Amino acid sequence: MEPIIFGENLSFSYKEKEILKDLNFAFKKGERVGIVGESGSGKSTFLRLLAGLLSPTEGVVSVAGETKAEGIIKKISMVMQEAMLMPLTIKENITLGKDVPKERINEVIKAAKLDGWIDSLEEGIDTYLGDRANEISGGQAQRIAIARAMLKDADIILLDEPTSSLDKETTTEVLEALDRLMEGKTVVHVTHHPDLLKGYDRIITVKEGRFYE
Amino acid sequence: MKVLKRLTAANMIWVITAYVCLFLSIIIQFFWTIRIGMIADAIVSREKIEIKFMFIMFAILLASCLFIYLKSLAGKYATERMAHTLRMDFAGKLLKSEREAIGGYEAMSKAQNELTASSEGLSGIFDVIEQFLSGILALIFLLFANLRFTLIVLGPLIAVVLLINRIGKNLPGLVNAAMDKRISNNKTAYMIISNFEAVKVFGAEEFFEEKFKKELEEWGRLETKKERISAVTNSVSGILSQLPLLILFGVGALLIWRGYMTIGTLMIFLNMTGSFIRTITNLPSWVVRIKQFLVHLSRTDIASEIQH
Repeated sequence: MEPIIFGENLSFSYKEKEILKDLNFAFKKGERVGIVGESGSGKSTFLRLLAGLLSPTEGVVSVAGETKAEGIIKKISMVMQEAMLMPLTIKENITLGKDVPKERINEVIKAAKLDGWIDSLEEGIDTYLGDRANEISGGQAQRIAIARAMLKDADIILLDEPTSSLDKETTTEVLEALDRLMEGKTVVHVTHHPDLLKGYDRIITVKEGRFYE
Repeated sequence: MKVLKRLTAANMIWVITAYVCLFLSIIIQFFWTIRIGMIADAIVSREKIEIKFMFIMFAILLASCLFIYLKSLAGKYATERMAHTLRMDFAGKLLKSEREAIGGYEAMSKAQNELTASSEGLSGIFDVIEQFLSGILALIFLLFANLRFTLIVLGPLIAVVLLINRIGKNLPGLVNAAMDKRISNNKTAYMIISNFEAVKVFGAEEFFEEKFKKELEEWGRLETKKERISAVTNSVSGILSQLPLLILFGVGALLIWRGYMTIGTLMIFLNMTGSFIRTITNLPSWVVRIKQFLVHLSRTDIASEIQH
């Protein structure tokens, strides 16, 4: 099977420091790949290259047939460490201004397990988070981010330590929502915790900018 | 007003020094004007001007220079100390607050905007007070010197004061609304910057651009309304302030011709009336500036309270 994601001689430098060195890799469609490594090893930079948020200094990265950042970014969906909520309504935080049918929004809310919480709010999905965006629980915030990623419905899901700032109980709840997001998709999951990668097809360790499998 | 009182109390010695220098500077200017009138009368009546008289003039001039320097120095120092107290008060409260209670960037944005506007307001306050006191002193002199003449000349100005008071009533509300919108603009800009990755990944650039544009337009509308009120008050007062000078020249010339008034006295009247008219002419913009300044100051207090 043709790889959906691959890299050839991929390197990335920042301020003359080489963060990723001459990487060659290929991930198949539907594969779940875990990336582990210590802080500063380059794993988050790698994910941003796959997301099209950064461009390689040398080599090529190809994601779903796209090699340019503006093309790659359209093919992926991402859940980051911070939920990146904004002072908008819950609905706007999920759709980010896109015109989406109500049924589809309800579908992702349910899949992200946000329905119980939203139903308990007086103004429901139209509740304005405002500066309270900083005050809602980490689990709720991350589930909104997951709903946002579900709505994009990309074939490739990139996860950058989405549970690292959550407690154990909330992590379990968020992982359930993540499972639904990842169903039938190609997943690249960056984490400090290898135990979160049980059942993954491949686990790659990043050390000093190189891959070890 | 509460904040202004607190800032004054915290820097009382410097505020008093600035006021004393300012008051002495005004009084000396006042004596200089009267002496100039006396010289004019002496020249017209071809009287000999004594050396002692010239010596007093020179001493007044020197003292005037000294107090202009001192009042400027003390005024600026007192202002900066008050602005410093304001900033440090806010910074202190911020440091003592819980992170969650700070309200994120909203309070920071508020602090930045309000503190800048308040510091600007503070730096102009001594100039406003000086011009205001000069005008009041001139008015008292004019009323005592010739009550009827003064009332005829200055009557039209009462209309200006009443008009300005009426127009200026909407201003604090507008200042508040414009400031809130400015904060909201900053918030949107900060939101885009801090969530840049999410904006890119989920293609939300257009959504935020549109949102930012709408907020900017609303802020522009409020600012235009605010400035329009200021412009109306300034131009109306400018036109009306010319009226007393015309009356003064006409009536003054008639009185001199009939021998009821000397040229020196008319010169003093012209000078003092000019000083009072300047005060009245500038009154609308001062009222506007002071109202805006007090709103900004009170909002620094609101911003502080948010955190507790």
